[in-house]
Amino acid sequence: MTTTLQLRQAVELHAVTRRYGAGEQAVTALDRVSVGFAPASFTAVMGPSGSGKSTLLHCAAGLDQVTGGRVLVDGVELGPLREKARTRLRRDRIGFVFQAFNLVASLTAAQNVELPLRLAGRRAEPGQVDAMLAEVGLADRATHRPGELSGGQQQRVAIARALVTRPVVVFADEPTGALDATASREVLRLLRAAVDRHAQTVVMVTHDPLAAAYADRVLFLADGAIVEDLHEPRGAEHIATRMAALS
Amino acid sequence: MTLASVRHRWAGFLGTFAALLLGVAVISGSLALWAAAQPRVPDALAATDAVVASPSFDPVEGGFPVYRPWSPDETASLLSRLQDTPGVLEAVPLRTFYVQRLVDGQPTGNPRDAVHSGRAWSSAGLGGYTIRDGRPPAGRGEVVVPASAGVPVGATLPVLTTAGPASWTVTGVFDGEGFYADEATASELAGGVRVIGVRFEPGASVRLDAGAAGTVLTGDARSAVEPEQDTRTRWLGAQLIIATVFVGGFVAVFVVSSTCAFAVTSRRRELGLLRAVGATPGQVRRLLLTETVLVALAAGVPGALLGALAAPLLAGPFVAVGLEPTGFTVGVSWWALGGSVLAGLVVATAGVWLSARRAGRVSPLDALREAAAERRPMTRTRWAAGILCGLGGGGLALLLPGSSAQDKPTLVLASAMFLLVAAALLAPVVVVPLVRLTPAGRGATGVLVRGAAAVSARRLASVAAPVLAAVGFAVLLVGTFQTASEAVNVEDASALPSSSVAAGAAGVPGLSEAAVSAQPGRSVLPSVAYLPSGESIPVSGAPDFSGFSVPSVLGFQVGSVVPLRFADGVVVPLRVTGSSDSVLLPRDLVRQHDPTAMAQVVNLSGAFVPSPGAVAMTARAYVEREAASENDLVNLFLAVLLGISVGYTGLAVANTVLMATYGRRQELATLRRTGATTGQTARFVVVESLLAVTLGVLLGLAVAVPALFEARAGLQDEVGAPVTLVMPWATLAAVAGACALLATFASLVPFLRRRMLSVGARTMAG
Repeated sequence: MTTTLQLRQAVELHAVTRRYGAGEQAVTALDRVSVGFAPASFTAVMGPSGSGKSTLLHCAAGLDQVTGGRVLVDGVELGPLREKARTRLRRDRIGFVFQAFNLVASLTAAQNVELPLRLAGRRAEPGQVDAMLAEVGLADRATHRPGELSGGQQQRVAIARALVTRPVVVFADEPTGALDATASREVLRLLRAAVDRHAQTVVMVTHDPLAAAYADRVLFLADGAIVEDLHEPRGAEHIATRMAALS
Repeated sequence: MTLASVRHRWAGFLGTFAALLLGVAVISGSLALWAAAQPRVPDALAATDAVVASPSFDPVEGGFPVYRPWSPDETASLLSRLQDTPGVLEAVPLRTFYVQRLVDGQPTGNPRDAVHSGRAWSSAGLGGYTIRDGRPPAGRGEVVVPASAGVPVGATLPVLTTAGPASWTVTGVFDGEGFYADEATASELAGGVRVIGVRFEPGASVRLDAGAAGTVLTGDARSAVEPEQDTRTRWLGAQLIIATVFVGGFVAVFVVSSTCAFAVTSRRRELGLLRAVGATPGQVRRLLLTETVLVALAAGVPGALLGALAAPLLAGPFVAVGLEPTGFTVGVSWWALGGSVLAGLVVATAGVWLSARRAGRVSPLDALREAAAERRPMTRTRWAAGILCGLGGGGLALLLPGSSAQDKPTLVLASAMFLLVAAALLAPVVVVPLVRLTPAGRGATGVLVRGAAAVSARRLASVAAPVLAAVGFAVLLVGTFQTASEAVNVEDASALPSSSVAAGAAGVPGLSEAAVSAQPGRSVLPSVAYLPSGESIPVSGAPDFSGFSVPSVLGFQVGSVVPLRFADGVVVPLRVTGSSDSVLLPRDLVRQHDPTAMAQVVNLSGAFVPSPGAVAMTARAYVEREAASENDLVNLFLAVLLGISVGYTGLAVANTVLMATYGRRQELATLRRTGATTGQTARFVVVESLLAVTLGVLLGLAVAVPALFEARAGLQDEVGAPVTLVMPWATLAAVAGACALLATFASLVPFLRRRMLSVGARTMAG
């Protein structure tokens, strides 16, 4: 029994297919993809535009319905779940960081971080939100609204929000796509720290080899299928070379 | 969190706030008027401890109860019975009659009040009136007048009564209203008795029993015996209030729902984010509902106060135009305040309901999508709701031919409301074909507008919706009423045979007997009689007529005997001699039993003889005057209803356009950076708004014009003659122009604030 628990993946995809449209115009974004994401691992998903990397993320997170196959998050199969149950699961076990527009503009940084707890009908423990903001280096910005924060600071608040529920997995969709080099580094360093210090599982979609270099594992997608699964990549140049070879 | 959202996005809630503020103010003012417009105990009966009302008859088709007069015998026996009851100080019949003071030969005072301003001095105690100066009237032609009239004791008072002009002597003055004449004069001029006022001895506890002869009323219930005229006046006022609340409520829901629907579309991304971080559809729905409820409360409280403050200012105009009886005052009514705030909440909730449901269905993936392109302008629900409303409106329209004249206007209005909602819902379908029809031109504007309209049909439809409502309402209301008054003219002119008439002057309720008999010509005396059931029927006393002719709908056979009760309460058995459109009786018989009856018009067969209160005019002018006095009221109704609906929708147009332009600052910034000048960008936005206005005008007409034809068909059935359809071009042009102007202005406002575009640019770069 203990072995199965240890072997259980944070997220598992079994022969997942996603098709958009019907008939002749149908587009297959994912074609029978099977992959698992181990607990406390940092995976980067790469691939050219239209390769299906975002769709993979959306399907794994239950944001998008799969056409075929099964998705399990923390051992729970998403397919049979109704919208409400699916939302609950997302709220309790999944964190999100998007490319931009991550925060609710009317709420302060602290309120944004607390939002998932509030939605779950819980109150943050005293100091929990402050600790989370301190961890991303924004303890002094708790009462600022998103409009008063820089793009990098907004992304760091988004990471704090994604981590506050201690989710099973954090999905990040091009989290550095709209940031400059310095801010990007800070965001990636935070994601890396979440994996190393808090044994968090992170799955990140990116097209930037520099960002992917922070990961333990890089998945390359092309035409809706995994074409390479690279463990322990040796720096950004290594990744860039592999990517160039694929396209 | 909800509060934070409302505070942060106050600009987005401005439209809802303003719509609700105005809506609640309208409802609150109307309710305050309504509360004040309840029947009152007449001043002349203010000092009574109880009143006994004559037996009443409730018409089968609804309406006011009719009190039939007691006969003189019934009155006498009831009086003695009441006076013999222990503890009764006095029981006095209230006899009222028409009297108007003549100043320089001209009748003065409000003619509606004048018809019951004369009373017998014996009943002065019922109003609590006592002589201040002089003595009570004793001999014929003596009268006690209000001290406020400024006539000294002993002076001569020229008056006009139903009999004709007379000179009375003032024997005393009192504090109050009305003319208290001697018994002989009063019994000559007054009709039957319907009310007996009773005063008790001080401290006595009295059990009054009128038996089957009447109903004993005490306290506020005494208001049931207020003059029939006042009840009718109040009813007219109530119609306006009801229509105002009805249209005001509908337009408020319409505006709030279209504003909310638009807000949901423009907040898709934020709502998607909430869903992604774990908000259930229910939570998103509740968020939107709570937001709107907060706004409704914030707008409702000042709105209710505003309405309550404005209502007393309307009391004067309402009395002046004859929508409320004299003595009408408006106070503060707490239930009206509370009720209107509550109504605001209901309106807001109803308005946001569908949008909130849609917001709950926003997919978390929408947080990631660029919001510019809508995938489908029409959802299945929207199709279904639009088609259902269309069918509902069409169904109501089908009921029209079979409905009664009273129900027709309501049906037309209700059917039009349904069709307007249907048109608003289905508007996106029409956007794309309409845009294809517009010429693209050579410049960039045409291409841009076509492109934008094709991908955001729904945004255009949102702007078009309020325009649609404004145009639809304006054309339908004005068109129906103008067509109807056209029809009334046709009807009345055909009923007037001779070319010259004598009619009552401007300030009198009708012609005195002296004025009529002075004229060469024929005149019908209108009065009221009562069937054995208690039902009242209008009767006409025709000169040179003997017999008793009745309409066949009453069901009396020729030759049968009908015991007809006249206005003085006397029952006369009459043999039916023939059938006619209305009940016809000999004029002398009607005059004998109804001293209060007044002829309205004399068809002259010779030269007009001047007489106080009478004027000569052509038949055409008379019909037009009567129609005009009715039209004044109709025009007031129209002005109020149009003011509300068009004012409201103007607000909505401005708000939606402003929100739309503001929400697109990024797109506009891109346009600027691609090399468009401010002028080009502004032109693009203005042309797009005007396109939406055009769409609204076309759809509004598509609803209103067929409805107008329906209304005309109904009128033709009624009148039995062809009626010209009046298309209110001027109103249409004014409303459409106002909407276009507002939309243009609202599109340009964001350009006045240059900062907006630069903010957009920074967001793009950052």
